Amino acid sequence: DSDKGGSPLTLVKVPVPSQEQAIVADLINCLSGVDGHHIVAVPLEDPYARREFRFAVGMDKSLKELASKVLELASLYSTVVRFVEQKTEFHFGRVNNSLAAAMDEYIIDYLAFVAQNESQLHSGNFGIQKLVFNCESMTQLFRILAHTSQTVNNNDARGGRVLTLLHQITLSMAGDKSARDICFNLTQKASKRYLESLDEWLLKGVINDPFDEFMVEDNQVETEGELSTENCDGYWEKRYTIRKDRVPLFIADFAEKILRTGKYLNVMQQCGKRIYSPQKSRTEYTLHGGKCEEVIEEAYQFSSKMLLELLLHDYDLIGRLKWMKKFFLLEQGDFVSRCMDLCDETLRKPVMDLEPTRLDFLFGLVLRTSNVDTLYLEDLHTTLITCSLPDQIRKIVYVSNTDNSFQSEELEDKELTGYESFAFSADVKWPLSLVINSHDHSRYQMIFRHLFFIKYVERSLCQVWNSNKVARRFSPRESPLYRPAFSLRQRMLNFVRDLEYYMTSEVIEPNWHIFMEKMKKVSSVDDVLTYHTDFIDQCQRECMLMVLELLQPLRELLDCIMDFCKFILCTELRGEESEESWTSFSGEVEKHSKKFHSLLFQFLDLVGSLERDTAHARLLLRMDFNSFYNTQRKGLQNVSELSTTG
Amino acid sequence: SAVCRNLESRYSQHDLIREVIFAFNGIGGSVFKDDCGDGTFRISQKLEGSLRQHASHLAEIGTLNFKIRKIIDSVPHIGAPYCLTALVSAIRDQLHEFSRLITNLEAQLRQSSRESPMSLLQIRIITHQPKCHLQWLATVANECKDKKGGALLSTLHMLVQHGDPKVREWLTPLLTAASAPFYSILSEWLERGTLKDPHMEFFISADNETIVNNFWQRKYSLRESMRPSFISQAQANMVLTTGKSVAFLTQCCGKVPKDFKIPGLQEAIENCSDKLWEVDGALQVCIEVAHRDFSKEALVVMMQDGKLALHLQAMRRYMLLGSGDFIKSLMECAAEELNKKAGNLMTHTLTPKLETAIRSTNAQYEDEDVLNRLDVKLLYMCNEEYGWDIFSLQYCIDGPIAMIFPPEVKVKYLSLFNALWRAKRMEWLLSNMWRSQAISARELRKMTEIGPLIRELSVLISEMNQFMRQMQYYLLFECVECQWSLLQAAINQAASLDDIIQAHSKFLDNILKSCFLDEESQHLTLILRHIYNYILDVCKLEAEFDKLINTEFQRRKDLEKRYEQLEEASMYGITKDDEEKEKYALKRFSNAITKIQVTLVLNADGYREKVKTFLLALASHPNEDLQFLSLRLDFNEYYKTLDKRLSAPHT
Repeated sequence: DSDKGGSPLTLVKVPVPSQEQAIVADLINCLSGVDGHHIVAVPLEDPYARREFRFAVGMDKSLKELASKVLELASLYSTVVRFVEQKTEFHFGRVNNSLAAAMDEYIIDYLAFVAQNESQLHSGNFGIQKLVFNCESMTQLFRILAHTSQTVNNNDARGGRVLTLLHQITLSMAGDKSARDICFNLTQKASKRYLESLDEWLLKGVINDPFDEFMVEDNQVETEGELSTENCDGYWEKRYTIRKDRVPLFIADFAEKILRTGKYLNVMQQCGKRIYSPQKSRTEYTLHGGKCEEVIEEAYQFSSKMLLELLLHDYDLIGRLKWMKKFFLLEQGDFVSRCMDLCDETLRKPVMDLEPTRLDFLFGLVLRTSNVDTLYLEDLHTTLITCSLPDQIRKIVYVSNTDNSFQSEELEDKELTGYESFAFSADVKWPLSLVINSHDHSRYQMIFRHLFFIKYVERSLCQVWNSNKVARRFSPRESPLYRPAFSLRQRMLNFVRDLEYYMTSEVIEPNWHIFMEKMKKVSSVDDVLTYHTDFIDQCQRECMLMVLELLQPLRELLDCIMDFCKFILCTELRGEESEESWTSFSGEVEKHSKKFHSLLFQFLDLVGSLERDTAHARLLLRMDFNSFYNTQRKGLQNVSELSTTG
Repeated sequence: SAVCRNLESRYSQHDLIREVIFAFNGIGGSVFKDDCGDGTFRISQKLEGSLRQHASHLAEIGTLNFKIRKIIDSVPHIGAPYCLTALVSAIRDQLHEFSRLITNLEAQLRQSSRESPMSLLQIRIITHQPKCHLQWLATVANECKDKKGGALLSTLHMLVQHGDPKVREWLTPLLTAASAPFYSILSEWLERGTLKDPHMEFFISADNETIVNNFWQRKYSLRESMRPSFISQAQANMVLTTGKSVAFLTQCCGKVPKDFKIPGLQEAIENCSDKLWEVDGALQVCIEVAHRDFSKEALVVMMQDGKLALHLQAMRRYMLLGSGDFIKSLMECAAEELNKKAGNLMTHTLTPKLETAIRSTNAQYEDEDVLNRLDVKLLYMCNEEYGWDIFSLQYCIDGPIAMIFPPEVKVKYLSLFNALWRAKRMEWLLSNMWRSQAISARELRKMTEIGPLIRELSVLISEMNQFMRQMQYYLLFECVECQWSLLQAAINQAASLDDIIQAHSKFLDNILKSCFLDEESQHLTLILRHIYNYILDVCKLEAEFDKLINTEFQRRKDLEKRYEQLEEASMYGITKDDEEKEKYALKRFSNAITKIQVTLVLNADGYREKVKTFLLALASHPNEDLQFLSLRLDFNEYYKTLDKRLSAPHT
């Protein structure tokens, strides 16, 4: 495309027929991109501007009108040629390159068309009217091309974005079949390389993207060597990401699926399995995405299935989950009690005074002396979590809900004991961490901490029971005096055991059973992820670890029981008490009993107020199966009414 | 008028086109003046308006042609890098096609009649694509003229990535042609293990200076600058190891037949064209198979012919003190020699001791080959040192197997031996001391005045004993034994020599790390050395003490005997002189005892202080195993109660 400029030769006093012949020749020159004698291009202001022409002085007015019609085509051609010349440069990326190449084919047709007109002119009998007529259909075509190139230019688009624009233009041309065909052709050709890259990603997990156009981006920074040692928590989340602005519109709905397909392939390659999809079908641009969808779906199914097989067979996913359950959900009973026996002294200390290595050491002793099979034992460690359980829930639940109501001041500033902060941590290695991710891991930890603390409370109550055995030797006159204390202890024990039974046998076991049944029929990795999250979610919710409103009263109740235990264990039971110490003892017991009951009633009310169909209803039923508390409460109310009225 | 001029120019268009065709070949004329010398044309002022614009557009083609020819002619026919030569000849072929087009144009021009003359516009249409093609060739020539080998292929591969299908069509043959020499170097490397690469175009380089000992790790390396962009690092490494295995098998063992061919490699190379090195392509599969097979074979050669397992086992038994009976016997045999000053020590006096130790223990049933390789080595001498400090065993390895044990590995073994030997000696000394204490205890019970000292001494000795036992357990079991079992597992699973080399060096480094011999644990070694020195001092003290009380005991015994004899003879034997003498002897004895007691207390205090420092350093060490060791050494928290610093949390 020339850009000379200069003033056109004058046509003053030239007769109209001569003018016409000269102008037709000039117009043909203009159409081929060079200046004529009487019609000259105006220099461009900016590279994307529309090309304007100047006419010679003295040109006939009607000729001018007709010439303008032809010059519209010349101007459109200029826009397209400039677009093609620019976008064929490397740094505009392969999609732009392809688009330019597709347009170039139309330009060759166009040049042939101009040459045809030229030879017609030479053979004579060729007027401006004929030229205008000849140009009409070509103008239509170039309008579309110029519109397309302007749209791309205006958006400064590249890669996937160009395809999106092209797709939109194609859709907007729905009414005009020939125009739509042109656009469709352009889009198809422009998307060819892009879709080849897409195929490589879908079928091999390879990103072939030399010009930063593709929708998936590899953010690998670490070398492969480091990967095997570091905890790849979140690594795969971050390694491959989708660049939203580069996703072509016609596959935007499947972006997530596309990402995962290639990611799974990469996961398997990282694990030393070279798996490539044998799939024959390739993605192809269609107006309504049908073809792409099928191919993507097929590739996705393949990679998901292969990864699932890898997880199940090579990495013993089920075994791992069972292992998690064994330790985190206290399936291994002897181990827990042994742990409490050996580590009791250590765990009673405040968490700040604990030595983690010593605890680890003791824990190793526990593992070796209990009846645990040694599978994966090296991956199990002890850890001390320095924030209390409610705080941990607050952090996880509220932060994950992105609820801004969470504030750090809300955290309790309480000194924790070893028992309260003790937890396991499991080294879940890649690729199993895909299923047991850090979020799930900390939820396992929360359930563990809760269960472990309840176990501790039960253990303390049992110790109380043990120490109370001395009362047997007391004289028949003395022993009835302890009855309120002992019966309170029994009630507490019942409560704790019911709570435990509820959590283990009514929540964890049935949910686990359901989960395992589902896992037998699982067909893709995503299903595994969903089922597992469902399982742990359900456990967390039904163990009352989801909402603090429910957990807080329960913790208070447990704390109250612990206080009672401490009190009893501190007081030495003797056969003969002085009247004075006796009164203080029974007064203390009375206080504990009152506190326990009021908290218990509150808790029961709270559980009762929840929806009936939830598992909590079962808890209520278990806690008060013989309506003991119900009647008792009525009695108490009567008493208090009596006392207030009296 | 303008119209007339236009018609005029049409008549001369025939001549103009002739000149254009000449210009395509880079030859000037009356309109296209080529007097600039750089291939550009100056267009005569005679030509005006549209014709001038068309003409200048067409003249660019000639310029391009000129420039490309200039670049490719500058490449010498002989002696230029292979890939570049191949590329140049491919470009020449494509230019030849263009010449054919010009010839055709000329023929058309001759045939064109006056009724339907050719116009410049027509020529523009005809040359529209060829011009584009020439532009790309010019780009290629420009980009590649100073490059060679892998770098050139990278550039070409990059250019082929262009989105225009036509560009791909034009440039792919160039890439295929240019990569042919590269692939022939590759197949030579894969099938023979030799590098025929005089221009250093390949991504593997050989260092011919390297001695055979370091054949595996040093001789061949990746030349990153020549790695084509279509070959990933992993793939390049795979090629490197495969060729290395082949080279090893041919050069060191003569195992690969002369005319060996990797099945399918040639076909794969021929078919790879622009797809090059796809992750699941035939070439990749082919190389993977070759890699697996050759690695396996090299491994088998190493294991069976080189008896690798046997040598590793020997290393562990003798250099890492795995064979306890032998080490103990050696220590007993050589003790006398080793007590000498380092300067007085001779290898030839120690070798017989080694022989004795071998013959008297289970080591005699060891493989003959292994025993022949076992030797005594005296480390760098310094007159202040004793034989103990410079004594070392050494295990000589030669032949192909030596590449698993290059000099730096041997040094690691030597320093490990030194550390383990030292600890072993301490344990041995302490148990000897304990024994002599136990033996003399009964007799000495009579000397009531030294009771407290004996008690103090034996408390200290058992404290030291406990410490050394735990250290020995840690060193021999937790460090060496655990790492050894990991190494065994790794060797059983190894698929290539590299795996073994890697596992072995990891094995050594881990042991070095847990024996405090790495950079960041030097302070621990120092403290440990102090503790050992205290043990040696106490040992000396004990010997002194032993001698002292033995002479005293003997003296008293003799005295008693004399009394008895005198009594039997019913004589009053004790004179005043005797009494004085006795008094003096007792005083001297008690003085000596006091001196020993003072030294003992000093030593005990110093020792305990050092142990506490050691425990503290261990507890605050980032390595978790060492924190465990600290716990193990002080399991009942004896030292912890002595020192407040130890009870502070360390994490």
